[in-house]
Amino acid sequence: MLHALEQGKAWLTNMRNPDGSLGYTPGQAGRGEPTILATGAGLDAPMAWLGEGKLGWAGRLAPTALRLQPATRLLREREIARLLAQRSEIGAGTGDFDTSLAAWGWVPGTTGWTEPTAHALLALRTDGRQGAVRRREAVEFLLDRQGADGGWNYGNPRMLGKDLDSAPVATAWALLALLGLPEADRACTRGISWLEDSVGALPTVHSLALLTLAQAAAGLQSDTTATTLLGRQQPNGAWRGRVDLTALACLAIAASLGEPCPLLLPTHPGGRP
Amino acid sequence: MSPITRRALLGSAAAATAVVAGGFGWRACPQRQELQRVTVLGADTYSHALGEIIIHGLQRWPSLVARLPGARVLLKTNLVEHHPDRPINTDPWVVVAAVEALRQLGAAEVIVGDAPGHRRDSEALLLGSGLGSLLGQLGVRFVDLNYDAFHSLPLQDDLSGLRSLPVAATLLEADMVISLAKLKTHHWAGVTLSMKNLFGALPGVELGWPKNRLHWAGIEGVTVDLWRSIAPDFAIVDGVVGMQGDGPIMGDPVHSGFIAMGDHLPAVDAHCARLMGITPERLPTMRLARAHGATIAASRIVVEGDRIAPQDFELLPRWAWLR
Repeated sequence: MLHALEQGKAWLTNMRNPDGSLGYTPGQAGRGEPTILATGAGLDAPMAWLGEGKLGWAGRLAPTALRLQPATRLLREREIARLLAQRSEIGAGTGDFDTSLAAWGWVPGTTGWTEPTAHALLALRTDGRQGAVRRREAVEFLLDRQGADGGWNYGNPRMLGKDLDSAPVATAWALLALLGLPEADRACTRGISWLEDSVGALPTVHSLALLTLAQAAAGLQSDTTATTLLGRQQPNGAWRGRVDLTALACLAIAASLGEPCPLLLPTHPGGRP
Repeated sequence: MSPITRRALLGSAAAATAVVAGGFGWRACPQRQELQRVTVLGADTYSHALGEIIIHGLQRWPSLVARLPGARVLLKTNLVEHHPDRPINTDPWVVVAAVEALRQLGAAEVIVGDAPGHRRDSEALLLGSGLGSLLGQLGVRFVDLNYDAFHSLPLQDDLSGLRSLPVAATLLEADMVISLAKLKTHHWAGVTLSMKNLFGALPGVELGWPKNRLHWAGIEGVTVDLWRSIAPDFAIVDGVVGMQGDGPIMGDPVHSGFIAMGDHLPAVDAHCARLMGITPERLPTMRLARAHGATIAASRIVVEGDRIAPQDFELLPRWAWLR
């Protein structure tokens, strides 16, 4: 497993653009999410590129994913300040869920959604010093958006009176954000159960990597998930030829091996310093 | 990155002239709408037989067929979520049939692509729907447009007020773009057909999941902006089994038994709407499209092929007035 991790990191290293950034696919211009996740997985931080402020919504991942790299402190503080200044719009209600709750959207001027809010909550929990009110808002939002099946989808658990299906990726990020918070215990238990069943039925690379991370954060050991993920690694060390997925897989394997993993917070039940 | 080759040509004076002449009242008069053609062919089931049906249909479009040899074609599917009992997506057999037909007609490369609006994990959609396996057997590349490079495309008319939108590079750089849509009702737009399908040309990594900025800007304006600005070459609508009621994901299947196609997307969509028992002139998107160069009047659309009887699709109460 350690060899697979090193192979994955080596592939990521080879995918770097001259400025150190990474796109989602080989040769693509640098983007926030793949660059931050790959840096979190252990690549050197491309400080000049990160400092340019082109991270968009992915900047909310920086305070958590880069927390083990002291050189990124100022960048992380900048992104905390930036996310605290952001607040989603209040959408028109359909009566299916509480649209009065403010959270975080993907882009400015839109309503709040599961994954951006989970990224923001993780960031605020990582920082721990500020944003107590916004943390409470994020928790309230995510608990409100949990689906009837126990998982989360993009953020509409119910529409026009019908329960919508949940999705593994959104569920895993919601769990990473909520695990370890007493008020979310019950929601997390249901969420983990839904996620394990769902990924078991349709084990994709994206969902396997995030389930491995969520299980580790919950303090649950499952060699099966990590082993299945390993089985999906390509001979060149990548997962599906995608930088973001390879970085997530590396983070997941690190978590499974007990290696440092920035997405596992000290306050997670299975957390790390 | 290569320039927006064929698309750059679309911002031409000809298009601008059409807009200037296309005031709402002027275009509402059917006689002022350009004559368009739509091909509709009966298709009872999803099977290998669809290949023959689609190639038979495409051969009725000689100007399209003449451009196919050596062309790189992007088939923009409608891939949203997978549920075994709901016809949410363009059926994989329709995708396969279109790929085979285009190859047979000389296309050098056929790429299948989409940017699903709800799910970040397209592998789950490809596995769940079976599309991934079928494309693998055919050796066809699927491009997840959500993670594609993009170009910022200026919007013709800018009805949405967004000025420009990020559009997937694979789509813009293709020699030919075909909107391979699904016949469905839509709880916010009334229907979703070949024009609304173009929302999936925009990368989620820029706009999120869902692409909520487009909703805030107004679905009608964005849809018409995308049709006018991307200017797809052709549309094929999977109407073998459509979705009625609470579409685009929670509705019920209805066997409609046809494939529709044509090179003027509003005409294809308008005729499909009629086959769903909907008056297209009442659909806000269609009305806006009509004001900007679209033909939607039944009297200005020549329908050829098989005779398909319209069905009254179930509509949510909020859309009952579309009949």
